[in-house]
Amino acid sequence: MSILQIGLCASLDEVNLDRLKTKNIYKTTDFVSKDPEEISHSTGVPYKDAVAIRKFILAQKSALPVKGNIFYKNAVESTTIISTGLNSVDKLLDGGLYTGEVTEICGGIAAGKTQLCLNVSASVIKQDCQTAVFIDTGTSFSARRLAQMLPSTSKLEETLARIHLYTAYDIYDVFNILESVRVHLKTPSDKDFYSRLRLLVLDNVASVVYPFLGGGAFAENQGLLCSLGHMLKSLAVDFSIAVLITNNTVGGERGMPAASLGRFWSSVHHVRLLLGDKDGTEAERTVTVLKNCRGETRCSMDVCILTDGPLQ
Amino acid sequence: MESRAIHTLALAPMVKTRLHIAGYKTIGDVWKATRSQLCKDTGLAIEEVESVWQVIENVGKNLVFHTGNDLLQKEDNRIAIMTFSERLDTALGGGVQGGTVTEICGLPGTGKTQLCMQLACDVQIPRCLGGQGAEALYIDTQGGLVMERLTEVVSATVAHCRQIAIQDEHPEMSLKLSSLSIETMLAGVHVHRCTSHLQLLAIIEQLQAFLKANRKVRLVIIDSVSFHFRHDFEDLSLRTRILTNSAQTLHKIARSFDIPVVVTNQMTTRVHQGPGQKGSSVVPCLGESWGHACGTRLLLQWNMGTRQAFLLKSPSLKSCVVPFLVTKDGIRDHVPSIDTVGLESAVDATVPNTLESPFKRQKLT
Repeated sequence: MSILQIGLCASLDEVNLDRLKTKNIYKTTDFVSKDPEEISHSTGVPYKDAVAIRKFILAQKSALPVKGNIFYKNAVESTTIISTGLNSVDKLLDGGLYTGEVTEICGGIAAGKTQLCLNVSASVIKQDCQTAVFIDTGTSFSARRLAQMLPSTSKLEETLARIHLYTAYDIYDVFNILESVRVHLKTPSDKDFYSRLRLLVLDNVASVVYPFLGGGAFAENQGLLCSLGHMLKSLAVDFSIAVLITNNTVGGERGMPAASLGRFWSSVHHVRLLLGDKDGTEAERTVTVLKNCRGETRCSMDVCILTDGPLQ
Repeated sequence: MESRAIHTLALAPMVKTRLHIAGYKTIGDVWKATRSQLCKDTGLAIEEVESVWQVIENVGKNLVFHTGNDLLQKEDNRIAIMTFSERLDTALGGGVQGGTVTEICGLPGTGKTQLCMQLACDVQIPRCLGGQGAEALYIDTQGGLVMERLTEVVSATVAHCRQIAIQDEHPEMSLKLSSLSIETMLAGVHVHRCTSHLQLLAIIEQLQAFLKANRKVRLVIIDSVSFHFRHDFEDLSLRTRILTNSAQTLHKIARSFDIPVVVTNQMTTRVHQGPGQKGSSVVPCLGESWGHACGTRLLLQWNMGTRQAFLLKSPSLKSCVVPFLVTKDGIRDHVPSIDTVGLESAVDATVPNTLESPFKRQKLT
């Protein structure tokens, strides 16, 4: 996908590069998508060089195959199961959130999406060896509420230092933060924090995506949505952290609530949970699994939002 | 940052497309090239390339995070704006909270504007009396801010403050209060009257600059946010985009200045659709996406002849219902506790805490 530059391989010298550029071949993809004979014919690059460059690019860019048993071993070794702090939801999800996966919580207004996010965060940071990053796109993060959800035995100051809050007000802010987290994970300057990072929360995705959804410039906008999904997924997989995002619901078919952001977005996450009201009760909610790439769906459990403590 | 994809940067789509076609995919690619080479490869003007360069150089800078500790401390040190109704304050966790966007919704005459006026006064109460000693920005879209009524609430608030100072006999306090008058308090409310949605959007966009220039302003009120968006909007998806965008700006302002932003919203009828669903219900305007956008949502309603405030949504508090009153002096508790009875009778003994009908209040002019 990268640009053709001198130094990429021996056959790609200045003369050949200029010849290629005259025919609008700038990228490696432009190059490999064409037949070497055709390239040599149209640009005047010697056929031998064209073949050599092509061979080099393909060898350098291709992914290496991994044997299934090794892949499995890696997966088992790198996966951590993170408890949501709720026995009932853990049961639904076969233990909890898995690192390397993107989990989405969707729900209506005041359904308790943020509460569940805070609850999972509390469950992560109450353990010494785990840290979390929380990206708030509104003003919904409440440290006081988070503190309430922590067990009374924990050392509050130490525990709360294990969560970092970023605020983002548009999608570019989110990209900046995700990229910065990525850089930190790759070359940990704050090793203490990032080497123990297990959870990344993005609450709420819809509020940064809505401002550009459905307008003109469809390709550009869909591209941004696509990039966001890709970034979240690759962070989860590359660094084996659990990514938790929230999404709104809109009135879908026959008035049934459905998650917003469309078809494409529903392929981004591995697990999707729906938080719904339980009839006639104020503090109780029903959690339903809508999508789960490794377990049962359409099963549900009840949770209760308590005023001064974790969810139950 | 080198591997950051170009198309995730805040650049014009056309610029991004040109860079993409020329093979520049990441920040690293652009870094390796010279400015003149970029111009040649992409066909962009030198100024455009320069702006690309600037965006790339600043990307990820000024990115700050807070630890949970910082935030807890910040939240604990915040002074909430009291509403003068103790029970309403308790329901809201001490009053209207800084750093959040609070929506007050309700049918006409339930007291939305009254509560806003009260807040605009209360934010000016001196620090020594537990207030903020700040000023308020009042964005009035529907012409509901009646100055005579505001003057009434202001004078009651001033009298209330004086009363406390006299009771406490604190010389320093009386000195501070000597500057407090109806005149100064009215001057502490900056009123924007806006008559179209464009004006409203323009004001929201300029809020940041306004608040920077007027550091004393520590409360932003928009009464009401829905007025200009209810009609003349055929393109509902455009409305959603505009409103979410504005909501994000309001969140940004609330967080970065650590001040409360209060918006009011009207109600509308939603007809139930779908199998087995009949009838209709009254819901806040502006649809689902707006409902998600506000952190805290307070519904004002009438119930059996009593005004009630219903906390529908809050990130940190339990939803609950509390009664309150709108008196001549402003918002008060429905069941007055002992000390406020004492104070209020001293302030204005002739006016008891009677319930006024909304129509009567409208005619106060």
